[in-house]
Amino acid sequence: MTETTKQKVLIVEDDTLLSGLLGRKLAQTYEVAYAPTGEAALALLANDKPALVLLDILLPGMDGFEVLRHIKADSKNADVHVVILSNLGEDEQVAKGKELGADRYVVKVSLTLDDVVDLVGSVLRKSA
Amino acid sequence: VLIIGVFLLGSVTKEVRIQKELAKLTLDKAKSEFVTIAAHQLRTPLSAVRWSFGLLRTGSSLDNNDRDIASKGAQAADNMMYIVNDLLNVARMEHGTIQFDMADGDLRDVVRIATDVLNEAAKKKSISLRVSVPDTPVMTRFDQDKMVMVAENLVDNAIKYTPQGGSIAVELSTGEATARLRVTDTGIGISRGDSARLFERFFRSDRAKRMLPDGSGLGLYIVKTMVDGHKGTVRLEPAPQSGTIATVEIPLVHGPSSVSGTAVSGSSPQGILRT
Repeated sequence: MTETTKQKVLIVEDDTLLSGLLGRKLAQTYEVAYAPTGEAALALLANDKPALVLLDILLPGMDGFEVLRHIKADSKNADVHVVILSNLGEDEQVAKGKELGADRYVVKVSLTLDDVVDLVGSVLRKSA
Repeated sequence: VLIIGVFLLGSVTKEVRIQKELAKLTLDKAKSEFVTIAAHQLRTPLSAVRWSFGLLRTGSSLDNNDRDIASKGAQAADNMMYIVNDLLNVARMEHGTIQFDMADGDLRDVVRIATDVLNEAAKKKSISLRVSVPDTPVMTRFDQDKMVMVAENLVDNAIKYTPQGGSIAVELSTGEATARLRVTDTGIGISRGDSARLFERFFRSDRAKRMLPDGSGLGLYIVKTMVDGHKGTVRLEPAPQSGTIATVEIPLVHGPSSVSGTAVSGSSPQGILRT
């Protein structure tokens, strides 16, 4: 019997209830890592690269846009996908996220957990 | 002296009127900003409620009765999400912060995205959702997210207000200068008397309130503002037998009046949403 390695998804979210619910659902398909701050996310990325980062914008300390800028500035992260998952969804915020290189920008409240799993799957499949 | 007196009185009256207008504008802006902040603050706990009910109802730890309660809770949270999103959209429109990111594209993509999203909701009510699009691209200039919002709102309305087992037809076609999206349902229909008010903010017809007590009454207002931003038109009319026909028309890209990128404020829509 062969064991397939699960791809890793890093959830960057300071709300522990949300990250817990999301992580529980994603863990059915992926290996899940958590970071409650941008700084913690970048430290994790330096040691163990995930396939995809689910990134909130409003974080304590460094905000999600700044985290995205750091991720994209490091060539070692060229194959790391970033999906912004935030409850901020103004046009200029979405445009900024895309401009900084996010694969997708989605509004948290509009998605079910199944939608998030589908979205992660579709972004990862595109790169396969 | 009389002439100077009349002149001064006129100036003072004008000044008072300007002050009142400014005060109203400031109040409108503050109101709109309050709604935006309140709606954003509601989104995070609402996400937690939706995701919690979502996990509960699909989990294996509940019996059928408890799962049914979780489903109803999820439905209520979904309704609240629609209302919060509608409020945010209206606040954006009235704040003039909605930008239309126009690009040439195929409207068939809009119909496909909107109907894919809502297919499951139609199935749950055993409603037949028939989609018909031309074989060739329907090229128009539009903001994809906003036109998806328009199509989703119209199809979602049709599903909400069509009883179990009904049918909905979504048809995309082209005329000489416009692309036409038509959504025809076998639902509760609209009365002639209500048709003029359907695009007003917060308006809900008695029939709509009887069938679905909850609702923001903002969906069609948003639809109209979004369609206006595309220099298009939208109308709702009773279907010949029963139900409603919603028709949106926007200029074809090579038509005589194709539009370019624009921003719109929804404070004074010309007679026609999106989320």
